[in-house]
Amino acid sequence: MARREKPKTGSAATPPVIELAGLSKRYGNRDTVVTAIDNLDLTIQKGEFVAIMGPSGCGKTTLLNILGLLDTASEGDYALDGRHVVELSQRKQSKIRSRQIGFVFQSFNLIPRMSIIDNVALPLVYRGHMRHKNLAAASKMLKTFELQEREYYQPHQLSGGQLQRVAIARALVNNPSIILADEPTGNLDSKSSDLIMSELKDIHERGNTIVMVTHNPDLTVYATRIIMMRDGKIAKDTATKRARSKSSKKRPMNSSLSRAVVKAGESTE
Amino acid sequence: MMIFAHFRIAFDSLRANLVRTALTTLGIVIGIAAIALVLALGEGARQSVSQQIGNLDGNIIIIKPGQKGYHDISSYNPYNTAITSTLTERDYQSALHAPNAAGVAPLMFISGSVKNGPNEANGAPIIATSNKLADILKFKIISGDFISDATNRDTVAIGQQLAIELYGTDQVLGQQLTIKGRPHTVIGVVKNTKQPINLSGVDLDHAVYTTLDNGKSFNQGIAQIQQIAVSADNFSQVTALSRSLDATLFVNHDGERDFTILAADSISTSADDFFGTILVVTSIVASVAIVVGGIGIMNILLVSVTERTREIGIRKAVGASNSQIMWQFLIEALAMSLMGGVVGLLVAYAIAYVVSSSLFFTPAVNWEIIVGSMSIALFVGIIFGIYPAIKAARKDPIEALRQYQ
Repeated sequence: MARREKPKTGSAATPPVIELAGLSKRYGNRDTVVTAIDNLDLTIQKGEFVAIMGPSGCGKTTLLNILGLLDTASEGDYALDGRHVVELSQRKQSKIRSRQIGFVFQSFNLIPRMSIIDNVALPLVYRGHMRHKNLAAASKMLKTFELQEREYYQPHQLSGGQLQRVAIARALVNNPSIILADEPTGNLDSKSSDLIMSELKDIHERGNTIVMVTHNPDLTVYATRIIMMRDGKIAKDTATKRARSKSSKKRPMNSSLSRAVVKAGESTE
Repeated sequence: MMIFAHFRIAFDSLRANLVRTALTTLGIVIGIAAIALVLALGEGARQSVSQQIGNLDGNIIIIKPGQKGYHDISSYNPYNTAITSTLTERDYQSALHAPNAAGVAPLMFISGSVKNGPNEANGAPIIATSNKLADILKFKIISGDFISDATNRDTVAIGQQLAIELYGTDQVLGQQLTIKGRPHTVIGVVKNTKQPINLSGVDLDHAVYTTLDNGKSFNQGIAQIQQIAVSADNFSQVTALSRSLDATLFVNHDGERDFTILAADSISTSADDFFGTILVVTSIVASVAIVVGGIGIMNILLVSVTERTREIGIRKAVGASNSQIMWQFLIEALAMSLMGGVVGLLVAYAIAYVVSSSLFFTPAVNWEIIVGSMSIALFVGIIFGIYPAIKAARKDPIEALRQYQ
């Protein structure tokens, strides 16, 4: 992955949490090359709640995986908290995943044979802490999500909404600065979705950066910034729009604005 | 701290598939049990034989005239004094100065009759020797003293059986007997306590012992030494002492190896070689079982890695490094192989004790067998666990998370 010159965005004092410059991701080789992300520039500041939308196959999940250091870009530069990812060893990347990033997946991704509390404590295991400390921290986190009495349940004994709350608890247990959520409400009914989203909103209000991939335009009301992707590129970015209108305010977007963005995105398809 | 976490994760996943774990471990149990059983019984048999050789006073070395093969330990006849001995008094003197030689005694066999008046002892060996013979052969002095250089030349010590044959009692101090018609006074009665295997069946309880000087007087003043008995300080020095005697006598005999040095350790070494060969062969056969067990571990771990691909992806997503994933699977392999090792050892000793109840020896229990068996188990765990562990560690997290999605 070749580093490119970074775009001039963000404050000079603190580096942006995420800074992508000319990032591309291609799969396959020669005649069968598929470009998932195409020369993407993106800067995300600390404390933003970014909703990434777009049609299936536009590269949203690939982008999220690259941001979460689960995947690598074919080209371009990715700086996380000012550190260029390409220069980090696998071990350091694992460390960052364990300390700085929290993942929330659509399909929850809990380990079925482990209890709820063990699933939540999993990120702490790889930080080398004592087991009783890990369990105490996991228990505290589950209490926040009102799941304390189900600590020793197995995942199959919980409902979808509860499972996603467990997954969010796991994502937060190591106190990460960035939450990456890939369609966190994709498998849930509307009631559970609202619950999950209000929890993500709470987390955001506590100062965490959230990058969420979603298909549901209703969820963008919780976001402070909406990015529309198409064919591996950013088709629309409300941050750019706001910067242009010089009316950037740090508040959640109202649903009419988000719907407008979604419509704009759909009209480009 | 991390290592405890790895152990916990490994044990949790092994416990999750208890029957599969038990069956996989069974392969190692059988392999280790086979090896440990062979080693325990083989070593037990070897120790038993060594002990028996030791009981036969294994630290005695006998120097005999002639080359090895001409007369070996079983066919040599010390009474056959017609054969001119190649051993000389100089050899005896050399042996006296050999390092680690606790005692040296010449044995000159004199042919002739032993009589008490009309009573003649049939085939009683007449042995001209030194006072050290009693120490070397650990004679029990029943009464009086054994012959020594300080005693009068015409004195003898006799074996207990001979005393009874000639006098009807073993209280014979001061009694007279004649050797080749020459009168001698009995100054001691001895009883043999051990029968060294390399003295070729000389009937020590039926012998007459006199000094070498006296013996020489029956042979025109020439010491016709048929054997030299040498005792080492202890059994472990026998080999070194044999070599040193061999070197000295080789020089004495002008580079002619017309003498033979027989030591119990050579028999012991032969026994060791024999049992060693049996052990190696049976261990190779037994090790086939452990290899099969190891392949079982590898097979099950490979299945486990495939089954748990998604879990590997999840673990990587929450911060597990490649090496941490590798350790998790390697520890699973090691846990199975070491558990198999422990159970295998217990099974081996249980079988060994049952089997040995009908044998002449008890199985050997020593740390070499225990450490050796556990080392084999550990080695098998590493060798057959490393490939699945590396395969797990190298799983691409994205691909892994997509599995069964």
